[in-house]
Amino acid sequence: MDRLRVKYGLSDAEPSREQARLWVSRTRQFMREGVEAEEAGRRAARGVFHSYGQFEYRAEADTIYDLLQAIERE
Amino acid sequence: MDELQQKLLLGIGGFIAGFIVRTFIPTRKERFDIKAQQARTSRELLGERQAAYQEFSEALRALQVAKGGGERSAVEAAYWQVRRTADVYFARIDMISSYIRRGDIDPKSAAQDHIDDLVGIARKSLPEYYRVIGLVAEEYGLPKSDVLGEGTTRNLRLPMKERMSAMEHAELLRLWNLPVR
Repeated sequence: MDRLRVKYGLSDAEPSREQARLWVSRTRQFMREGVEAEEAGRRAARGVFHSYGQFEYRAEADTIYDLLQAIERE
Repeated sequence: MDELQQKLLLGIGGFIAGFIVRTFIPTRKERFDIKAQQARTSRELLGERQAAYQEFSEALRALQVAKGGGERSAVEAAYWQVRRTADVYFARIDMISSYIRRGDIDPKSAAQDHIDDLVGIARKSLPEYYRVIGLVAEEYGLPKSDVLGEGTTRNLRLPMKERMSAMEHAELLRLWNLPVR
């Protein structure tokens, strides 16, 4: 659930269990239609989550990158 | 061949077939147990990775502060702390990649717990770490870290390849200065 929130930039209120189940089922449907896995997940997320892409969470890689940039600037 | 011999042969054949099935084909419960164990392993590795990440990011913040202060001894101490924590962090990343590569973490757990982060680390953190830490070493006359190369990324490459398009993967290898194959 947390991973979906971070991956698709969702609000704290999402995803509910029902939304997560719906996302899985729609992703599988897209994949059965021949869409590549990542793209299938994105398409399903756009249709299921109301807050899709509205929030940005810093991944480990981004934070490390920013810290290294800050060290270089000092 | 009389009837007794036929029964005997059938019995032995049945025993051998049963033995092979029991030995080499896991039952449904065994398959479930294996998956559960793989998921547990994945979560444990995630916990270890996050702990190593905390220490590494704290060390980087300390180096930034020390560099801002300009005192050489403080920079040197912070530099070595970064080197130590980076070694632990990247060793965790390497270990997780090798678990994924060997199939000790199932693909679903790998995707859920690790793959996105591994891709981000491979693309951004690793090359930037070696570049910036090299600049700091030069500026303060400190021993350089090993350059990013084959050994550092050996285990990372397979999960990356599974997750990326051929073009992205080739681009990543170029970023790592590795031969595209």
